[in-house]
Amino acid sequence: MKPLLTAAPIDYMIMATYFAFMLIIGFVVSRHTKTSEDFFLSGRRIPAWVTGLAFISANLGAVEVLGMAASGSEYGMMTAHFYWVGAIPAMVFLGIFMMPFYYGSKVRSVPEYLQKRYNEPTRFINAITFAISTIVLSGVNMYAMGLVFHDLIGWNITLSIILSAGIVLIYTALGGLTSSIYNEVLQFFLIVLGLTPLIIIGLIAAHGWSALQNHVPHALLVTSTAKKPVYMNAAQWHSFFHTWAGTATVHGNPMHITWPGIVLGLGFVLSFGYWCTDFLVVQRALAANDMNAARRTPLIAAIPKTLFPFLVILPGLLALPLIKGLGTPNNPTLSYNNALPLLMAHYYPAGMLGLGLTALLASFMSGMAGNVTAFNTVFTYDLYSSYIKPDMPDEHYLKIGRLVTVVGVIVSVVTAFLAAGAPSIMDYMQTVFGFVNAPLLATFLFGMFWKRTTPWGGFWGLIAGMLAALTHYLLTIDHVLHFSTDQSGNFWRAFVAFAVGAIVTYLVSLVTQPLPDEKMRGLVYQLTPKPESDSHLSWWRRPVVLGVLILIFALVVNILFW
Amino acid sequence: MMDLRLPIGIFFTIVGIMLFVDGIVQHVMVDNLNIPINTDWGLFLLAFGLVMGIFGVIATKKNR
Repeated sequence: MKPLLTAAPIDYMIMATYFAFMLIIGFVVSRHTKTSEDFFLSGRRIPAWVTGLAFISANLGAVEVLGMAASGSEYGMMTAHFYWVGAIPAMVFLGIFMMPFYYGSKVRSVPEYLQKRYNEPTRFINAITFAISTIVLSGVNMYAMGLVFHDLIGWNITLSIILSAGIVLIYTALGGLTSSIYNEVLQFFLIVLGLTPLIIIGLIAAHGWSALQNHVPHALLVTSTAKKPVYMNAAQWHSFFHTWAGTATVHGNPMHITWPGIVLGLGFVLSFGYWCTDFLVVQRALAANDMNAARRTPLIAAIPKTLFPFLVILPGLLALPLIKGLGTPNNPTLSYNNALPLLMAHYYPAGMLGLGLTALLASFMSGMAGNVTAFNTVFTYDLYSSYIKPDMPDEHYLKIGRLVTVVGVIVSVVTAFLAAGAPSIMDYMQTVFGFVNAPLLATFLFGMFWKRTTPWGGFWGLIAGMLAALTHYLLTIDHVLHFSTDQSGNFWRAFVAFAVGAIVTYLVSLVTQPLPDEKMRGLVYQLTPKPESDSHLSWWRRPVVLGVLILIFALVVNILFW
Repeated sequence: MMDLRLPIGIFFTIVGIMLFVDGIVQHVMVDNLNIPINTDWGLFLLAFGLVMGIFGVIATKKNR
């Protein structure tokens, strides 16, 4: 396939400047990295605005940026459910209710919380699944980056994987989490400032928002089951601008999902499971300089997150009428995954293209760095220091952390090449590891909010939830269970895994012995002192006020795009 | 430790200058729309970079 774009010298100059800055940040930060806590948790001294932006960036890989734009082309504004129903309520819940337990208990990782609240086996299951899935995801991310840049500007896949892995390795091994966080913040601004002009130009080219809505694109209907190609009509195009209208039935909306699936599967289980329990994002909040900053971390992240649909979904929506033939079957160049690059190729001249490409590159690389830093922390704290060499001096764990970073990057590169050779195996592994988060939510909610939950209740609930998700998946691929789309199946699978996990946790807890109260102080709602009154603080420093305002804002955008 | 706004400010100042100069020298426009995007956005990035940099310098001095 011929590359979509041709990069000019100025584009390469912008990319080279970015590489240089990442390395400089790594070197500067490394001078302040003296203990294992500096390396793994940034010495818990990062201000809230930095951890907040890193929190959102850790999730903003280029796969998400390109994927959301593609989804915008396929499903329109309904894609915003991942933000306005999914992420935002979960992030507010994490900041207001769950962060006091994570940060207040002084745990260094999510698996360590499970060890304190439940037992070693529960920690082990979480630590091992998280470590493996993180490193696999990092490899898949690297391969995706190689593939995207090969298709976009003709870069050699092997060379781009090794170059990006090398740079990520240098700055994460030098500066640990702080390096990763600082680069994530730089990436945040790069993505916002690299993509915003594309929205402005796209809207100008489409003659404004109203004209865009009235310009029915000559586009094929993706979800049509008819044998002949079916083109979109005005009513179907209008449904692309709504989020809830038409969700009473599966045929009334482009995503073919009903509202209970959206609310229960995506809004509750999948989103709360990811945003509230995934160590990759929670680690950013643990690096905050005090409890108030830790609680505000996901809340600060939620503010731009509410606006992100306009940055990542809108380009996909704009591309449908602006890029002729987008979505044409059997034409890889015009696939929906290329909606954003095609729009960039069409409207960005040399220079701006460099900025846009650097934004994509940045999101890939910081995604990798996020995975590597979360992996080295969980491996060192939850596996190495617990099972292999406990009670060693701090310098030893710092050295091991750096060594694990090198090993993690090498394993990621190997995984990336495996992904290149057998992409379907990688898809399968990603699906399998996707089973981990949904039941984990039940384990955390019971553990934090019901003190009667026992260690074995948590353990068996987690195992049963994971098995339920696996069974549901196998029944779906064997066509025993039917769903209108894969997405719908994923939402319901998450809910089933959560429900089974919750029921088993509850039942086993009724017949087994809970921990004594003194062991659960700071870990459970009923046994944790309420946070000190923050009424003397400005409103933007008060988590509850901030959380309520964000929820109101999310409600308003839901109503505006009803 | 340095305030993060300082490197971010320097980075966007450099990129802003690159884009602005390129836009002036090459007379780059968006196809069919006549928008001098490199000049306009370069200037915006330059201003953004300078503001961030200034805040970064102030915060770094304050921390010392």
